[in-house]
Amino acid sequence: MILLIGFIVSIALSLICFISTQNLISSVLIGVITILYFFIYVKKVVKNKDELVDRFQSCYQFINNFLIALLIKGHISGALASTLESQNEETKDLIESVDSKDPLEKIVYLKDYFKFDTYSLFVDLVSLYNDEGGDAIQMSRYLLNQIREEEEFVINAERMNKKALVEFTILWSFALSILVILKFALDDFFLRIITSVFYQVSIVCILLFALVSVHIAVKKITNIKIKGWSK
Amino acid sequence: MKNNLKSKIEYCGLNYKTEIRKLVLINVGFLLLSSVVYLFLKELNFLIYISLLQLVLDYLLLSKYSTKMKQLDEERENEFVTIISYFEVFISNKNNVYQSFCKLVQYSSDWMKDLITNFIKEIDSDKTVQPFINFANNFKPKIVSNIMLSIFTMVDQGESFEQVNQFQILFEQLLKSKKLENLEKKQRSLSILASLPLIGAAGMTITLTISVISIIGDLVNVI
Repeated sequence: MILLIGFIVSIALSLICFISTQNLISSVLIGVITILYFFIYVKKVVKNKDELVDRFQSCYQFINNFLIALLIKGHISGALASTLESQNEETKDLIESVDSKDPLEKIVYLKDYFKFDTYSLFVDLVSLYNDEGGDAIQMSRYLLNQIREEEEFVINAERMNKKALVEFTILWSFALSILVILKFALDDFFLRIITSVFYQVSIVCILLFALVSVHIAVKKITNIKIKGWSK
Repeated sequence: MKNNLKSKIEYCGLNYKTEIRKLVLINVGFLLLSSVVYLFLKELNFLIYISLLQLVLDYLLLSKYSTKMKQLDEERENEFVTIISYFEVFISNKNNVYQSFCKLVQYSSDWMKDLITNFIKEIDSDKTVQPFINFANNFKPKIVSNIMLSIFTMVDQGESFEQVNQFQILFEQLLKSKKLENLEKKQRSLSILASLPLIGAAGMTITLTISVISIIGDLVNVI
């Protein structure tokens, strides 16, 4: 998907460059830089961000379901078994790979998969419950609040990102269409303008600036921090 | 001004000399570029562009330290909120204040780890409110001091329901304001994106205007 978007952006920028400068070399150069940028950088950061969001959501779901199951079943092994039913294949496979371990060890083992501080905190609470017993829901009330706050922030941030991305795309489309419209509006006069070195260099600089602004957008949109996560 | 800049750079954990060297190198590079462009192309338009770019870059480079300082403060305040929410989990699960702070170390960044370790050492030797005030002094919001004072009363008067409740009310306030602040910050940071296409459009308009004027100028000269 990202590569397809990169391909479309690259074609669009090359086309705009060619229409407004009639210079094949700079158009190809802009296109190649764009596709390389998407292929090398954007693909990687978007994948990392998606992985973080997916992992966090499945961590939230795991903790939530486990605590509810613990309240119903009253013991860790039963709670873990019912929680795993609603988990994705990756989590199930991870737990199955350590089938010989006891339930608490299996939960501890998932620390490497759910690399969030809130999960480590959850493990501490489950260990405490295992050692001393008590009311699981009461014990984890503040932890659940904390995770819910983080989950809410992630959802809100994703919503804002989508909105900003749509605005950004529309505004750049309008801005770049000025060049295409002027080419047809100015007609013969335009053929004189494109002979100027200043004009040619400026247009390439503006298109490179468009690429820089795409980079800023990608950085801002993929910037989600959840404590403990490291890649 | 010099000391101000130096203290800002050092606050961000950067080396003052290296940063100044970078700044000088960039400016010398721009001067060389301007000279080369003028020697080969003999176009004043490019010199205007390069000088503008140099000014913008200098401004951005010099203002980045204040931005980074602000960012660092915000990150530290956010970490305080997260750490205290973990503290809330520990205190509500049979740990006392001292044990809870000891447990917080494993969830902290290096900066916070040092702060908590020093705090623990201080409360070992000083049973007054001072270590709590010293800890709170590392953060700008007033509410941090209130929270630390309420934690002190928990130590001083026992972790009774009322004391824990008072701490929780204060912490809820901080949590709410931080949540709002973080969402507003995200919104502000994304709103910058809308201004980038406008800068691009302005660049296009300036380029076209200069090009059209110079062509009209050429035509007038011919006539």
